[in-house]
Amino acid sequence: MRRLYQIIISSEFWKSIFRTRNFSTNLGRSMVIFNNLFLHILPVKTKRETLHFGATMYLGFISFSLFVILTLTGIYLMLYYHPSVPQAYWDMKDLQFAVSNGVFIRNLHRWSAHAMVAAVFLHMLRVFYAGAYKTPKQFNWGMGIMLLILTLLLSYTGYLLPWDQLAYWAVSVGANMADAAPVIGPKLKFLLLGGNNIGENTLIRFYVLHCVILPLAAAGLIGVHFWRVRKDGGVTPLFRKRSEQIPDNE
Amino acid sequence: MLTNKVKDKSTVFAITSLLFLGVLAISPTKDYFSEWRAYQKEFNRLIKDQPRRIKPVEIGIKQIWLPELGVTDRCTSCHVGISNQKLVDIPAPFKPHPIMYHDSEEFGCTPCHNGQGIATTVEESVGHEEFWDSPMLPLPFTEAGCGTCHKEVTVNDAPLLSKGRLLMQELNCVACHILPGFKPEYVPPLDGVGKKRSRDWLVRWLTDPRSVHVTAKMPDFRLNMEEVDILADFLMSFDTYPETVEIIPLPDELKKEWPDDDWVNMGAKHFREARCISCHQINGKGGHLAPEIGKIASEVTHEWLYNYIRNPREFHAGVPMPQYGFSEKQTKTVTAYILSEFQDWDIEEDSIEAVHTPVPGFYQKGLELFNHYNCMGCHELNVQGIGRNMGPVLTNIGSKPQPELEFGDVDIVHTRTAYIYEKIKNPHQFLENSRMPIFDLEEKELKAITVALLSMNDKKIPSNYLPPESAISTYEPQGMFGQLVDKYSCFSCHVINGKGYLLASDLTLEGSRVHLDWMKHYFEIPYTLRPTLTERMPNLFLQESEIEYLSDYISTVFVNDEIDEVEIKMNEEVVQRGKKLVNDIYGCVSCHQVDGKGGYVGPPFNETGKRSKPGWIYNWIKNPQKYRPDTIDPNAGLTDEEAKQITAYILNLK
Repeated sequence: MRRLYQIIISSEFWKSIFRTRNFSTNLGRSMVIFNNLFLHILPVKTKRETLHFGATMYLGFISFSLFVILTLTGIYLMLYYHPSVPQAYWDMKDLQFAVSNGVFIRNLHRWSAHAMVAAVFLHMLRVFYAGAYKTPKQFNWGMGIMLLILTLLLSYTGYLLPWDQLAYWAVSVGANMADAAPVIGPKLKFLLLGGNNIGENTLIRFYVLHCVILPLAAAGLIGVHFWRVRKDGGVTPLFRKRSEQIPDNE
Repeated sequence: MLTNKVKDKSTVFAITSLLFLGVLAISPTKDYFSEWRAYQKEFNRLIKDQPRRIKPVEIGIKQIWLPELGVTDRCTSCHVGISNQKLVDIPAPFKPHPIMYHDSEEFGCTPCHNGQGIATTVEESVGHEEFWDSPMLPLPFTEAGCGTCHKEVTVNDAPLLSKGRLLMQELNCVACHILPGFKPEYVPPLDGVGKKRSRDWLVRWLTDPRSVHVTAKMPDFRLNMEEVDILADFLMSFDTYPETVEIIPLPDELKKEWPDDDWVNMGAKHFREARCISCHQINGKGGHLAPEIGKIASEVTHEWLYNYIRNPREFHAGVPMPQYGFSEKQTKTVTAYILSEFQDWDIEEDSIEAVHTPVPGFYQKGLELFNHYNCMGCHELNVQGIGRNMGPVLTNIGSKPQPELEFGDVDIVHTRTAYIYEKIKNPHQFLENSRMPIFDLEEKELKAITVALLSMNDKKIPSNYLPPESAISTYEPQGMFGQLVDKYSCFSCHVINGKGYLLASDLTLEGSRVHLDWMKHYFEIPYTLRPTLTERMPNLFLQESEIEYLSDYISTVFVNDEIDEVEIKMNEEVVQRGKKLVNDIYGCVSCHQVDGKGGYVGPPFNETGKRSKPGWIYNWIKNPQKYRPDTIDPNAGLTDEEAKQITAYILNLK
């Protein structure tokens, strides 16, 4: 086992990916992180006190995982979905009745969406009670609020896409709430719906927002968010384990 | 260096990963064990026992996709044998569809049956799916699907639908509801009703019309005693006829308590000749087109009766009863016969109130009730303050969204079909003080009307899928002929150029069909051509000049030269060949009589020569359906020569 491990990590193939051979020193381990686009968003070192469940309840990670699941299932659903008034509802019916595992993927997307809203919200609560919005983390708290808004917008825009009664009226309510805003309300509603009533334009608009603009914006902000977590000195634990009051031996 | 702690965690990690993989496998497993797949496998197993070799079905979702019709029907995923007529004794859902005119590949399933065709589970396609607004029509109501496209009153192969539409016409639903395609029925107007009826009769009639006439068309409005009293007083106050109505006082001969026997006997003879019971019922016998008259002498004033027999049109131009050409004396004798015979012997003299004091304020209250129950929907009454007060529009009742139906707390399944059925059965169960009357219908009739109403929906069917619309006739006979046709109500039984009711024959080509002499004779003494027919042509007591005019008009106008231009050679050889064809080869005698032998269905051949013109016989036997699409006379595919031989034989019979 160990020899196989050695063979693998000393191979050219391995090196071509991680560009670093020596993992036994702290420098070597750091180089792995620095030299990799995907990993360099992670800190080289993490405090042990931030790793146990009570510190973060893993809520940030759960939110991000749900985002990944939503992206993957969303792409799958896009393969079957036409954002057009005569077709949208029937595409959903097709997913339900004729597409292999269509119901599963659609439900996964839907429940993950609900869960993500909850997880992001709980994550913010955790951050708030841990006091992680204080200096120097004000900026990242702001990022977090933006991400919460993006999550809610994704949820709202996705609601219209099945084009059923629930969708139609939920979006009607939402649009009328925008309408009630002072001064800019009516313009805002017009902008949101792409017209005065919910119709083909609204569907296209919500589809593009849901599938392109909002996910890209969220992905970008998530990157910034992670990067700042690291730069601002890692997470602030909510609870600490009593044993972790003792300094690390190594 | 893996510590123990890390090792423990990797075990947990490994187990959770496996668990997740297991969970992930649920969806494909469910997909694999889907209902339709099980059905298809079952089908492939069952066809091994079939007497004829059946091709097994290739496993996979099947669908009929007709974008133009908006149909994506996956019904055939389970109903795999639906269009395979070779299958015998195979259980549902594999049974082949009963033979029908439409090809399921061309029309799909849901345009007729409704249901969620796109679904692939039993529950969601044909079951009670809450969020699918056109659930499958229950099997007894399937004919509603035919009526979606076929808007004519009688639809071939849809007896229940046709019955429902005829019933709706007969019950005059259109009086209170907007129903495209239905015409208002003739209902007696109420002007002068106080002169026609007694108050006592009105009270009995308003309380429950069926207790007076078993076949009464007026439904039961469930009026309470107070309402009945007010309405009776209100109606009795209309005791003058409109100015246009000229009333002749009852002749002295009829004022006696019992008319002379001679008159009664004479009247009875004319009554039979006039075939009054072709339309009217007397003690449970007779036609159903007009009201019962078994007790008419006790139900109307004698003056009204006399005047009505003289000229029904005097009271209302639209009345379907013909104006018989009785002479003065004949009118009197017929009236005398009716007065002496059609009495209500059960009436108790004591029960009739001698002097009645009207309810205070009856007029205003009566008018309100009259309007409330929309009496004017059926009955005309020319008085200030009368208005229409219609019920709901039923144009698209067959597709009214189910959530919009008010089920109240009635314990029935919440479907449109059940709602309509129960609503007609008893409207008051949904709404205590509903204005809709009770029609007291049998189960079959309720079903028929439900089917007819369900067929009134807003389904969008492209025009190339619709049957050719039968053109509405604009024929309106003019001049003297028009007047006569109107006077004798010919259109009540006959059709000419697409106008009228087809109870008797279509007269559009009558001039090419029968000889002039025969026609004249027939007007004098009509008889039925087919022994089994009950609705018979009455003797209308036409005047000599009228018979002359009508016969001449018909034989010059209602002709088709193509029919007339046929030459029939008559010689012994041709006649003998024709005889053989009629008796042996085509077996015509199983329905038609020759020399007193043969069937009873068609008209006897012996008299045909005197009646029908040669050209007509020739053309008719070649293609009977061309002239009357619903005739049961078969098209035997005769050659021209054979048809001529048979014609010659029939003409030769004496």
